Amino acid sequence: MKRKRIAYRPVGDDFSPMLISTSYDMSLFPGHTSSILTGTTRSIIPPARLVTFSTLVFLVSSATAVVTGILVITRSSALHSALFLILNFLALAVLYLSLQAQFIAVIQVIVYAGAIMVLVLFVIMLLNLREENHRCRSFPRRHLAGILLGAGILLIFVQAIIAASVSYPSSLARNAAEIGTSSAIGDLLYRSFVFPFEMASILLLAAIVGAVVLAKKRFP
Amino acid sequence: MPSLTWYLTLSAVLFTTGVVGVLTRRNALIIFMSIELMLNAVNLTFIAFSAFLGDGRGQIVVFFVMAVAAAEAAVGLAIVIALFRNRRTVDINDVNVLKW
Repeated sequence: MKRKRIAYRPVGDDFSPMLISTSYDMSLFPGHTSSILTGTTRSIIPPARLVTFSTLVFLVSSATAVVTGILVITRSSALHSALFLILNFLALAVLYLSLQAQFIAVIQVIVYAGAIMVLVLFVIMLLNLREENHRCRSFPRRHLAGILLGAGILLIFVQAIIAASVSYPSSLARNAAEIGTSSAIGDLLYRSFVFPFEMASILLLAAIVGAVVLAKKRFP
Repeated sequence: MPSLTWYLTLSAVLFTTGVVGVLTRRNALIIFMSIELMLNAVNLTFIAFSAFLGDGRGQIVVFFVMAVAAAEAAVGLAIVIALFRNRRTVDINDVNVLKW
């Protein structure tokens, strides 16, 4: 019997680098409030390796975001584009988490990767499109123009980022873990931004009515 | 810890990807998705500045951007459906009534 060979590895001290690094990241900010993770972990790995872990998270998720972003705009099937866009949103949610914005990360997964992309996928499958570009040349001139324009825009962006980078703070703010919680966001939203919040609700109502009117079966 | 410059550069790359998508693709749905890509790149910039500067208002802006994106998704997809119903296409080269 081969079943007896399956051995479950216990989650030991050397087997949970993510939790340990979280405790390290939190310990950078003395004012943090979440003690769930820090209470259960011990820091047994020297800090030098843990800094590279957060860098590793950034590199992996940003590479995922860039690659899936390029795949979104290069796949000929809209369905494949939509699926890669969901992956892109998930990678961005990981990046938001690495910036301690927990509420926005959850909203990103629920609203963007959940609601909006389900709507897009629903429309794609409803329309049941064929592949596009079957009558075009293999590399139209607008692709070249678009890529050149995009390169120019990227150049301007990067130049501006580098030119302003002397005034950037070098690390996360001290209260970065606090301002990302849902209580902090709700406090700001219902105190200082209550009027824009109501405006957003009216906007969403108008969008619902507009969508129903536009997608109705027949125009009068 | 990655610095703010890394996040901003990543955001610039993602935004440029969205711009190139809008400029090169002719499928209305893929253009729509490229716009979502650009909105998310801007959201990443807001979150990065919010976390590095310690100001929660950046995340509020992201919240509103998401609300606007949801409204835009509903209306935009309804327009795409209405377009497909009337013209049997979502290729924006075929929708050139306003072209000069």
